[in-house]
Formats: sequence, C-alpha cells, structure tokens
Amino acid sequence: MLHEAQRQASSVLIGTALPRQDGEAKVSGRARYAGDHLPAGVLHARLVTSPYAHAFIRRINPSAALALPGVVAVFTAANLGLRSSDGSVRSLEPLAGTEVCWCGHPVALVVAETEALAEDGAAAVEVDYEPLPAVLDPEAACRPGAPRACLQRDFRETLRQSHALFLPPGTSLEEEGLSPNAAALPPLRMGKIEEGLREAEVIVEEHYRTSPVHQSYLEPQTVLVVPDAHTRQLTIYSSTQGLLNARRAVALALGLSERQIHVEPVPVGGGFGGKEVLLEPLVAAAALQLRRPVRLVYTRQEELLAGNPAPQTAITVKLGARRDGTLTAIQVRLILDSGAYPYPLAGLSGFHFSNLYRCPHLAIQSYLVQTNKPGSAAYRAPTGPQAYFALESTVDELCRRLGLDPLAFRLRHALREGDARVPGGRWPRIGLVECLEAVGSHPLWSERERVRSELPAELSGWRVGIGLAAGGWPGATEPAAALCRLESDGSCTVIVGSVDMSGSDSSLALIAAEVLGLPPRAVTVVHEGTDTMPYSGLTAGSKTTYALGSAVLAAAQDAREQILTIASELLEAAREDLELRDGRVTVRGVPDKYVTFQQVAANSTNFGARYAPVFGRGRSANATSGPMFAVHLAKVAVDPETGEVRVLDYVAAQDVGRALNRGEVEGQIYGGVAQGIGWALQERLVYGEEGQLLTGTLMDYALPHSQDVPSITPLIVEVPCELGPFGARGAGEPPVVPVAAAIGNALRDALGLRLTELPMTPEGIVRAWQESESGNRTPSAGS
Amino acid sequence: MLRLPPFRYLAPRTLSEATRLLAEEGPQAMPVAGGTDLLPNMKRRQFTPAVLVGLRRLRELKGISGSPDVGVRIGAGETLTSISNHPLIRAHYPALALAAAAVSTPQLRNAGTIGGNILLDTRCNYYNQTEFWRHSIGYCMKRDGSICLVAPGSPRCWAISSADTAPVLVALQARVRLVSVRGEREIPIQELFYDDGMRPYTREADEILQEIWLPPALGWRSTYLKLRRRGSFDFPILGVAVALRREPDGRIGDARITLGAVASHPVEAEEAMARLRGQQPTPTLLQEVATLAAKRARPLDNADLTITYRKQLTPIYVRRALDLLVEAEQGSGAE
Repeated sequence: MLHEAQRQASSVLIGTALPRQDGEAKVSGRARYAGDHLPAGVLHARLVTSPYAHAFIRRINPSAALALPGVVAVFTAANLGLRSSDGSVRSLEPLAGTEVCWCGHPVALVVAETEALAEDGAAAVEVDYEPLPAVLDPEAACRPGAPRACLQRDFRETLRQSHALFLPPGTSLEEEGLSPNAAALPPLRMGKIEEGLREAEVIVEEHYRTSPVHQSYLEPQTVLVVPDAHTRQLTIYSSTQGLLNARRAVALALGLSERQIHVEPVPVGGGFGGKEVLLEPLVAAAALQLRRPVRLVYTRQEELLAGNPAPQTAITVKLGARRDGTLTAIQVRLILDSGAYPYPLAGLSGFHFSNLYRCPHLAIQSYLVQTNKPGSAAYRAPTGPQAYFALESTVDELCRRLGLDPLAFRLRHALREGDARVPGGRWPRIGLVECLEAVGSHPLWSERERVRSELPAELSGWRVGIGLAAGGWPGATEPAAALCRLESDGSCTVIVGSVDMSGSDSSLALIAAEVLGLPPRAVTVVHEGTDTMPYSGLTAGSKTTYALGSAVLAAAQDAREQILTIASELLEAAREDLELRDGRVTVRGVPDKYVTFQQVAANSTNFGARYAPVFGRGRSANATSGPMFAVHLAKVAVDPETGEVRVLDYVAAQDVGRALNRGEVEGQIYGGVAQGIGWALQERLVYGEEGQLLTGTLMDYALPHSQDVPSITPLIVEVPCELGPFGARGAGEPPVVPVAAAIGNALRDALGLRLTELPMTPEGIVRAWQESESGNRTPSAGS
Repeated sequence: MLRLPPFRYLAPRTLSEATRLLAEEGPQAMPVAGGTDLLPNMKRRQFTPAVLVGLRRLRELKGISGSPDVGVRIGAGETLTSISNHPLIRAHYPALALAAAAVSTPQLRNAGTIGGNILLDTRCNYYNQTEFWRHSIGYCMKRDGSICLVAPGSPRCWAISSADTAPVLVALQARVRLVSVRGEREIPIQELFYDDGMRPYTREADEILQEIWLPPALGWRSTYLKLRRRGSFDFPILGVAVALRREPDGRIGDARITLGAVASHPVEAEEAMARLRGQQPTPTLLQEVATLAAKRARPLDNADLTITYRKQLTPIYVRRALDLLVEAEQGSGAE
C-alpha cells in the first residue's frame, strides 16, 4: 500500500536533479570537517605501530619520549584505562597488550603539544618485540599446521562470544582438517545439492581470488575529543558514519554513561563502510585522563597500514545445469580473510550467491579465517564485488559452455517477486528482470557486434570485448525518527541525526518539499548531535533514504496536517478543499483565497498566538528492506601483447525504486563504477612474506585516475518499493557490485580467457594469454 | 605524518655563489631545484642534509636556445613542463618532449626540473619507503643497512635508474656541463652515470649540473615509450628511447637505443644498434634488433609489477618504438 502523500503529491519535484545544499561549502573548502576543529589547548596524538606482523611485546619503554619537551603523555594498553574487552572488536581494544597481530597494530599513543612533537615522541618510544611466525594468505591460514595468527586468544571462541556475528548458540565452527585460524560458518542451504549436481549435464567450476582493498575515502579517520574542564563529560567530533554508534562504543570502553558523551554532527568526507567506530574510544580515554582536548588524524599511510579494509577472499563456485539451460545447482566455498579480528559482516557474505538466480539446489559454505592483517570491515556492498565477480564470471562461463545468450540465460533464471528466498520467505517485488531488459535494449548490447568493431585509431591491434554482469544488494533497514519544524519566514527545517555520506540530505529535503508544497531551497536539513537528535542508526547498507526518508516523509506529513488544521480555521474552509503549493495554503479553485506559511507560522508561534506550533514528528520502522539490483555492461579494449586494458564504454542499469534526486542517483552510479574499476583492474593491498605492507602510499596503492574511468551511462530503472518513500529503494551500494565481473566477462569476450584473480593486472593477462597461445589452452588463469 | 628533518636553506643568486656555498658547507649540503624528488626522500629519511642550497634563482641554469642545425642548450633549471612545451624540442627532439611530459603529474612537472630528473635518486621497492617501513624490514645497504634486500648475496645495490629523460638524453647523445669551485667539465651524459644503485652519478658533492647540450638534430627522428601501471603519476618500470637517422636510400644511417628503468643507469643496447646500422629496416630485422636490445634488460624484482612482466615487455616496447619511427618516416617520405 502506498502512502497517502505519495498518491496526493503531484511529484513536481521527485525525480528532478537538484544541487546539494552542502555542495558549495564542500567545493569551496569552507565545510568544516572533524579535523578542522582546533579548540584552544588542543593536544595532538600519534600512534606507535608495530613493525612486525606478529610478535610478543616484551617491554614498552616510554621514558625517552616522555623526556622530550612538549610530549605530554604516552599511553599503552596498561595505562589507557579502558574496560577490559573480549578482543572481538578492535575499537574497544585499540592498543595491543602483550601480542601484536598485524604490522601497523598500534602499541602506544603519544600525546604532545604539536603534531610534530607527537611524531618525535612516537619515534622515541622503545618497544622490545619477540617476533613470531605470521600467516598472511587466507587459504594458507586454513591449512592444518599453519602458524597461529594470534596465540593469546582462540579465534573460534572469540567468534562465538562476538555479538556482531549473530551466531546461533552452540554453533561449532569446527571442521576436520582445518587450522584453528579458521572457522566454518553455518552453511546456507536450499534443496539438496547432491541432487542438483546429479541432475546437471554440464558442470562448470572455477576458483577465484580477490585482493584486500581499501575504501580510500578522501577524509582520513579523524577524532577530536574535548573533555569538560570540571566534569567527566566528553564532546566528540569524529569522522564516524554513526553518531550514536560512536557514543555507545566510547561509553562501553570507558565505563561512562551515554549521557556523559556528546557526539557532535560534522560533515564526513566519505566513508564507504570504513568509518564506523575505530579510534573514538582510544582518543576519548586519552582526553579524559589528560583533561585537555586530544586530536588524532590518520595519515594516508596509517589509513593503508592500520585502517580496516575490505576482506581478501578465495571463492570456488560450482554451477550445474541441464543441456537445455536449466540451472540445477549452485555450490560455493567461500574463504573470507577476517584479518586479526572477527569480520562482523561474515554472515552476510554467503547470501550474495543466492540473491540473483532461481535455482532449486543451493549450498554455500563460508569460512572465516584469522590472519596477521588489520581487521576486515565493510566497503560499499560488503563482499558484493568479490562474490558477484566469482558468481557472474562462472555464469558467463556456463553460458559459453551451453552456447546460450548470457542475457537470455539471466532473464530466464532471474529472481522475481514470490520466489523462494534463502534462508526463508519470499522475494518481494524487485527489479532484476527490468534491469536486465534495460541493458538488453541498449545499443551497447543489442548492437554489440557492430559496437565491438568500433575501436579508437590509437588502439589498433587491440582486442575488444563486451561483458555483461548482474549484481545485487539486499538492502537494510533500521528504525528512524525525524522532525519537521515550520519557521516564521515560511520555510521548513527537517531535523535528523543521520550522517550524510552520499548526498542523502538532498533527498530528505526533496521528500519534505514535495509533501509540503515548498520549493526545495525552502527546506533545510539540519543535523543534531547525540544529545538531541531523533534516532538514526549508522549511515550504511543503503538505508538512509529508504528508512530515514520514511521518517522524514511521516514528519512532513504530520507538519502538513498541522498546517492544514490551522489554515482551515484561518480560511474558514474545509480541509479537503485546501491545497499546499509554493508555500501557501489555497482554497482549491479560488486562487486568491489563501494563507501563506508565514501567516500560519505567525498564528502558531507569536506571543499570544492561538495555535500550537507546527512541529511534525515522524517515525519509521520499515519491517523489511528493499532489495536492489544492478546490471552492467562494459566495453573494454585489451592489448594482448602488453596486457594493458582500457575500459572504453560503460552502461549501468539500476533499480532505485524511485529516483528522488536524479542527479544524486546518477552520482552514486558514477562513483560506484569508478570504485569498481579500481577493484577490477588496479587496487590491492600487497603484503610481503613477513607481513609488511608493500603498498603504503597512494603511489603504490593504485587508485583509478580520471583517465582510467570512461564515460558511464546510467539507466535508471524504477520498480517501486512498497515501504520506501515515494517508492524509493537505496542507491549507494549496488553500482560497485557488478563492475569487476562485467569487466572480467568483457576480457573473456575479447581474449577468450577467463581471468580469475582481482585485480586483473596487465601481467596476469599477458601470462594467461601466453599460456593459451602456447597451446596450453586451459579456460582459466590467474593474474 | 612525514616531516622534513631540520635543515638550513641557503638561496644564492649566482652560480658562483652557489658553488662556493656547496664547497664551504661540504658533504652535509645538497643542492635543491624543484625539490620534487629530494624533499619526499628527506621526509622518508633517505637523505638528511643539514643544508640545502637552492638553485631556483640562478639565471645561469635557465633558458632553452639553439636550432636543429647547431644544437640546443637547455638550462638544467628549466622545468619539465617548459621542456615538454618548447616548440624547438617538440619539433626536433620529440623523444625528450615525450619523456618530459611523461614524468609524474602536471603539478610536479611544473616544479620539477630537467636537471633534477637527470639526477633523480635511484629507486627500489625496499628503499623508497618510509623510515618506519625500512626499519620494519631491517634496512638495506643503500641507506642505514648492510645488505641488498633484493639480492641478499649481492655485494652491490640494484636500485633502478628511474628518470624518464635520462635514457632519452643518452640516445640523443647529449652532453652536460658540471660546475664547481674547482672548475668546469663538459662530458657526454653517459659519463655522468655509474652502474651502481648506491652511487649512481659521477657528479661530486660540490658540483652543480648547469646545462645540457643536444647535438644537431637534422636527419634524426626520435621517440620515447614508457611502461607504467597507470597513464600518469607512476614512475617508469621500463623506458625505451630510440633515435634513428636514415640514409637517402632508406637504410639506417645511425641508430641509438637506450633503455631506462632496467638497471642502475640508462643502458645502451650497443649490439642492437650495431645490427641496425647500414641496414634496410625490414620487419624481420626490427624484430631481431628488439630481441637483441631486450637482452640488455636485466631487471630485478624491485619495482612495480613483476620481473617477468618487465622482461617480457622490453622487446615489445623496443619493437614498437622502432616501428613508430620507421613507419612515420615511410608515411611522410624520407627527409
């Protein structure tokens, strides 16, 4: 059932492209991020990090650092004063105690009067280590006899106690022949996989590997904590994606009540899942002890060394089908590199393989493996790029084996409303088929024979291919609340507690403007801190517009009702006869009989006024999420002699339910595809044999440049979502998901080779090409 | 945060003042022009000079002048941008314009000079890292350590010559002038280089590279191809500079092939050059020459992308550079 306002609204604004309210401040450099706040007397902190990937700490001697002028304090796990934790969450145990488990693991925090002095202090802290064998590769770490990644804590025991993973009580996590570094997660099943494989006349099996990848947001991790001079109250400015999440973590770690902690809203320079809570408890503990503001801003090297990147994976996909092209079995073995801490999103990863196609028999076994690397975290559609690279590459291979059109195969098996869902229930109305149809009618696909022959002159001799891949994101939901206040000038303020990471404010403003009949510039979205904000969870999962947008819609509707009540009395007209347009309430059909919003405000806010102030309150608890799908097409050129790849053209279809601010939706697609090109062709954190990071700068860690990203054509598909505001679904996550698979499938088309390792580097392509040329025609090769 | 170590900065106004300051301050002083290589290296503590002598104000290091029939003088303080944009260089020494334009990014080319690029410190995965990283891996012989981490049994350092303009200037047979209080010397640019990653230049600590002389260009064609991961920013993992002079009958009168980023110095492919001279450039010959030239490339596993890949790509890039020059000539008709 659609909301009343959706039926009423004439949708004059929804679907237009409107500029962002925060755009000018950000482009001109006037936006004040967490790191731009420099209160009087602020101290600067720097980390002392472990040069070893695995070692015992014998002794930490801070005396040389403390002797330096300007160094105020050196904190270690022993004197930081945090509550003891179970070791499952890094932010609650930010400094290593007696064992370091990854190169970059912080062992001490030096606080000084300036950043330079803190750096000097950090260099002067003496740490005596006893190096231990390290294990870096997640597949190697699974093998019995592999070195233990952490000796002082049992990984499986930590997982069982971790709340983040939602493991059912009594989950064993054991499996024969598996090192104690590895935990077998509860399998996902539908039907009987043995039956599905028996029915299959064609079976395709491939093994894939992906690399750890950093979120590479522009603004580094930043925390400033300002303690009250007289009480145990802390004010926090942080680059976090969730204000209440930061408050809860600090309260838990320091043993304070939540009311003692005030997290202020500040603009965030990108997060992509990598900025939940990381350094807040550490800096808060230092500030609380020193009674002075303390600020810690990561360098780019610290980001790459001691951030929380997306996990490395090793994935085996086995697909079975009958000769007529009926998919009978999907079997997956997924190894997830947890890093040194439990990867909180591990439970989600297996579902990706059940989220595209109808298949009666399905078995997905995931393993979470501890290694001597920083803990893995979310990155835009967590594990989506890895999973769909594996799944969609294998589907492409299956289609080739069966001689089937890859689009027709996908259309035939695409999930539709009412299909059974793993682990239970049915799929709601979704737009996968519509996305497939949208790319199918685009010339890049429908005229691909012609398009394939079109090659820029300077690339003569290169081979061209076109690849298709689908991907999805199940969406997320969380209760949310919002307020909507009428101002005396007739404008409206929407009050929220979300962190705007992606331009979601512009969509929230549009929702309120649409409901209230106001021009969008007359709606201002204001962010409150944790003291006063209406409830809002982490900005994550593509749920801000979907879940918080519903609350804003309800708040605006509430305000609208209040405005109508006042206006109907002022105009002596029935409510049903009134309409809201351009900041006025007008009697329908009598254009000169109206009251302005200013008049409504004057009658509800002035001294002695008759009516209660217009103050809309909206709450939402969307019971289910709104699944999203994207289908991409890539046209690539590749020089088989050198392995160089150029992405020449790109089409991205995506079901967004309803595009509220079309410009922002397109922006999400451009950004997601650009990041996906990094996943596909360039980005990887490389570790040496002993676990040292070899890619500690943006020279070595290769992000895509502007010239690596082609022109991208977004095809916006709108299959309305029942609970989303005006039918909107989320938009942020899906555009990164199918990119690596689409480019891999395009390379397969160009070269006749299956690349199975991300990133697909020039040298991997050359090696695969030479192997195939020399007659060693295996259908797959690593990079 | 990477910080510069403490140092004094001196800003002489003339070349003689600069050479005097370098002599007075001794080996603790280093000259700095654009600073795009030196300053990041100082932040990582590869260099910790107590004194920097700034070359920016020296007019003796400025200017590009000459003509294709007498040759061209380039002041060592000219920026890479001004070299890549200069009409004389673009028209008659295109390899140099291409190489200068291929260095890093526009911002760094606006600051970085050709003298600084020629004297770029050699690079290695185990060396161009922060102090923290080098400490964590146990330091190498090029700075603070005693062994080579690329080839642990080796008595020498294998850091790579990574300047784009250096192989081009070798192929163009440039000469350079070095000035110090002890006097001046003008040498073929090859003699500026040592095959030693630790001490890659014959320049003495008190010498300033003042200018570069390009010989007459009439009859010559040249080009430069650069292999790297991305189309900007990245250092070369292979540079191929080729200069050819054709005889009126189409035979190759003279040929210079120089490889960059395959050793601690720019490497001339003598055997390949000799094989080309006096010959008609048939596809078979060009392939043979490319294979011969590539033999001179002995990369080690100390740069971006793997050693195997860099080896494989060398003959392909040499062949492509040769093809470009031969085809261009045939396309436009021999001069």
